[in-house]
Amino acid sequence: MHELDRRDFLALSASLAAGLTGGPLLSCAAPSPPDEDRLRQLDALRSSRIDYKRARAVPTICFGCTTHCGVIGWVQDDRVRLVEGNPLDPNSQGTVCSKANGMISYTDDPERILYPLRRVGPRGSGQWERISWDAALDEIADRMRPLREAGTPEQFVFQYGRDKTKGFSKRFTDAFGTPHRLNRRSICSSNRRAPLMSFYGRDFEWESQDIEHTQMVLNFGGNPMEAYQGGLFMRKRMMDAKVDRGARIVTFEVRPSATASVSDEYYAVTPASDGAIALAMARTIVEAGLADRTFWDRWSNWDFDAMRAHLEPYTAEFAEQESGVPAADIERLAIEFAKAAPACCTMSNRGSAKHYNGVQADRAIRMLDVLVGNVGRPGGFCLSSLRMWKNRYGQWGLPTIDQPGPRPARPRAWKPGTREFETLPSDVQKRVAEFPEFWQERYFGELATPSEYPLSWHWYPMRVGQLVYPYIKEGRQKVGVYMSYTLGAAYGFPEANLAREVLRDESLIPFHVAIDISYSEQAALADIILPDATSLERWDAHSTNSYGLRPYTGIRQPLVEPLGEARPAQLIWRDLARRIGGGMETFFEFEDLEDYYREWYSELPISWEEFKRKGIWMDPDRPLDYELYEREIPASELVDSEVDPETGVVFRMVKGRRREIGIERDGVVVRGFPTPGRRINVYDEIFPLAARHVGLDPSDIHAQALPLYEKVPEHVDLGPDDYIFSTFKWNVHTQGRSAYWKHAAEIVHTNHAMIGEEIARKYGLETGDEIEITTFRPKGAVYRAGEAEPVGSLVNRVRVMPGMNPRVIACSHHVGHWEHGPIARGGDDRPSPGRAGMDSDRLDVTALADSVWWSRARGGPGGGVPLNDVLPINASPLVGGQNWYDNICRIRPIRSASSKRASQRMNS
Amino acid sequence: MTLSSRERAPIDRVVSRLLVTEVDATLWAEVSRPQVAEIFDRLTPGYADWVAAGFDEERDHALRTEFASLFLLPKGAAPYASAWLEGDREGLGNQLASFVHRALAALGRELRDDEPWGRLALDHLGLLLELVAHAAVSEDPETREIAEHIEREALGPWVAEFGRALSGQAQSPLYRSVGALLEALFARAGSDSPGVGVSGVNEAPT
Repeated sequence: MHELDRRDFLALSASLAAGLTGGPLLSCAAPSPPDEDRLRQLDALRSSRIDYKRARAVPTICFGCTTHCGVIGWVQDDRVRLVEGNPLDPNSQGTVCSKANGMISYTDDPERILYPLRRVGPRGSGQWERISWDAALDEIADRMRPLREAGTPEQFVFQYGRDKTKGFSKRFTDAFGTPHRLNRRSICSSNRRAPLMSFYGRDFEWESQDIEHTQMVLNFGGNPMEAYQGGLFMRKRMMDAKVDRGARIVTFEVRPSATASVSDEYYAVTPASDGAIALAMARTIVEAGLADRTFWDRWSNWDFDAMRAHLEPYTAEFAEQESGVPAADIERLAIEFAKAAPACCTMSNRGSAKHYNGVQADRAIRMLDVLVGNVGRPGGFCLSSLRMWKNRYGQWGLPTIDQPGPRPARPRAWKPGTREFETLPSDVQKRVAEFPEFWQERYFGELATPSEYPLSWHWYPMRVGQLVYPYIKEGRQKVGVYMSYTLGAAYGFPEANLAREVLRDESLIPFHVAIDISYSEQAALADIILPDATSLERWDAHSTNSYGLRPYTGIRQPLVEPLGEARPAQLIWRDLARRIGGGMETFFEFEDLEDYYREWYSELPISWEEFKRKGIWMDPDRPLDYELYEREIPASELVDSEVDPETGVVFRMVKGRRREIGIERDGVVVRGFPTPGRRINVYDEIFPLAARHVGLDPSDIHAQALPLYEKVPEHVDLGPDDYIFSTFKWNVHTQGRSAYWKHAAEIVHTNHAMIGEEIARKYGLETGDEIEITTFRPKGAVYRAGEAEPVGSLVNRVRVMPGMNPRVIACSHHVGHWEHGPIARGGDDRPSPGRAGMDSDRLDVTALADSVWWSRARGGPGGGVPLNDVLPINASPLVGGQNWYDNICRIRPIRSASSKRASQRMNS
Repeated sequence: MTLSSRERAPIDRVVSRLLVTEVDATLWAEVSRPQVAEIFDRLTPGYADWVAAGFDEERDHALRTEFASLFLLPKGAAPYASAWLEGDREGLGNQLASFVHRALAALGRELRDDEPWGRLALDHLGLLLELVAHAAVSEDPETREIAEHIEREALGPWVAEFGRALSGQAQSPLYRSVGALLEALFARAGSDSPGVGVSGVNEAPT
């Protein structure tokens, strides 16, 4: 480069001075007199501490993970400086975790997407141009409108990863006319929600254990100390229960999780053996005469003696053989659990449920609570309202909290005879035609309601997200426009490479719009990216189940204005609806989002301003949600009702259909449970019914009406070199969404494969050694079952971890990104698969990259290994939940740390 | 290079625009002035021929794409102080936000949403350069002193490095020249001043 001197630059300056400087580029405020202290003030700006005299404290709802705690953000100079817990939140009780401050990380990320972008090179090439919102929305509307005008609105497919707009996106898809509002529920928790809804009804897809008053928790694979929906709500309660009252926590888990570490007893169980333990415990309780017969007979729908006979094979010795937990301990714990009743409760989550036998395992676990009669009782397994308040079950007497304005009609069902039905493949048509009417009325095609998985949409639309891309590839649904909203399928779904393949294929997905806050792997494969406002910049209504057992509601409100041109998704959909027109706009007539949410909460007994100031509302005098099922129904609600003489179920006919409202017990009409029989469905015929309709072998574990246990098919004949590859979550991360949050990545940035000492000894491995892990397809009635070809291989370092189950290799799944920026990549120059062959794949140059002290370039472990490409799609029959933790794998040592050290010594 | 902020103000303003918005006809007119072209050509040989070819649809497209790649997406040259100063990013951003707020107040100025700077994070180089340029041309010596202060504290520690990276990352002679220009202009300031980002982040409050 030529050296320039002062004269050159003065010439340059003089030249430019004649041009652009036509006027002040910064606006004039009201003229202010010079501030005598101004320089002194500027000099005082060397601290990043909060000035609490100037900062505003604004309550809102956290979006750092799925738990959604009430928090307070401190705002100073248009930036959120700190996020603390809101003591008014009855769930979090003022506590907060590190993820709350992750909201600041992603809001102020200097590489955040702040403008609408349009792809200008091949899809996935990473070449974009900024466009105006008008241009972006016009282009999208021009793509969407013809689908609607042609009478094929279903070709608009919307899929979200994290949508907490509480029905607002549904307003958009319903108004458009598409049933395709898809999600990722099956990736997460449908295998544990389905058993709960089977037992207790659709209103209870999540439970609210009364941890505050419990004496004993039997935890089957739940991990509230690290990652659990409601985990933070449980942490303080669990520790208080332990310390203050000596409550005992027993954890069955495959690795020594944080929850295991605070438990009184931890058993490193064989994966997928939870059902065997639970059933053996049930048997022990029955045989010991410790079952609560009164409760069972009054509220269970299954005969006690039949249950006893059913449990006969599940001895503690059998469970020991399956799980590795000593029979004596199983029996001891079962008796201790029963004796603590009703102040005892079970807990379960993905650890028990994300297996081929997981749905039945969770049903078996749920049965323990019914057996000891702790359901809805102090210290027990409680149920508390968790959805928006519309006078649903458990919401009696609460103010209505619901979206204002006219609501669009739901799309019509794809029943035989409809145009949509005719678009289905013939085998699907045949299956759907034979469905009972109550399913035909809820059937909306293979993406929204896959006919092979009727229990993924029987209770509510959980869907089977991991099959969306294979189904699109197979042509089961034609797509005109695909819109992904904060979705990370291209990174985080099983066989994510298949998702990317479909997303790249313009013949399968002609137009992809991604709404996101970060340049994710998903957004990188879009045609247009729309920048979403973050949770610190937006409004959302909030409700969830209350572990304090008193329903409450909260408001997410903007603490700062959206940066750049980011917009809240609600405004994106509103403006898009107005452009598409054709009547859609009539459902989006609001102008100001705050006005919209003020109306949403208009029935609250406090003013809007007070609600915003507190962030949370609850009726402190409302009775706790104990024994909702025993609540007597007022006579005024029984007008026009009838009693089924055989069952005692009280119902009313609404539009020719029976609608159950309660059950007669000892001459009194009480609420019962929100199931069709108003009792707890320990025995549920929906499973064999669904199995019959999809042609599932009647002997398959999913086809059974009773909770039972069988080994996972691919675990039956494990060879000596076969292991089970399991994944898990850390407490500072949330799915694949947090790897670019700097402070979170500083704490956890890699994902060594954890192995037990047995595996280490067998292969001569030490912590830091590298192994190749090869995964195989599952068996059983699942996608591509039994194919011999491996799914894929990855190379990772190992960490030898005492306390692991000896057949398990466990690896966390948050890291190993190739988009999102240098922090998420951990300094690794991992090429984007979407950019293969492109010369635009540059190195990171900023200090963001330089500050990644864990990068390999700086001698660290790097940014982790992406796992999801080698984890097979494995949707549980009927329910569709991804069986994340069944994967069979084999390992091959590649290079040991000791040999590496020896090599280094030789070289030196 | 010794150039006062007042002397540099016109350059700062144009560079500010180039970092905040895509090149349009107005900006193209600025960067294609003969004297600008001559100096940029010395910074990036070939610039003069490149700019002489004019601003057509193809070039507009290429520059828009490059702008997004450099300044709007990861892996570019993020024009934010918090992307360049090692340490606590949130702390840096907070400091600079306070800094800019107070500087604006001291200057009797405010940001409007409808301006290109209006909703940027307050550590964006385009905004900081504009702020310096604005203050530097004031007739009031105290206001000019504020410009020097902003430059010393908020720009000096990192802009030269940003410029070096920008010139390395950019494809077009224009953005390569802008990077080289920033590197040249701020090299000395960076070596002279500890600045906000380096010394201030982890200090105890005053």
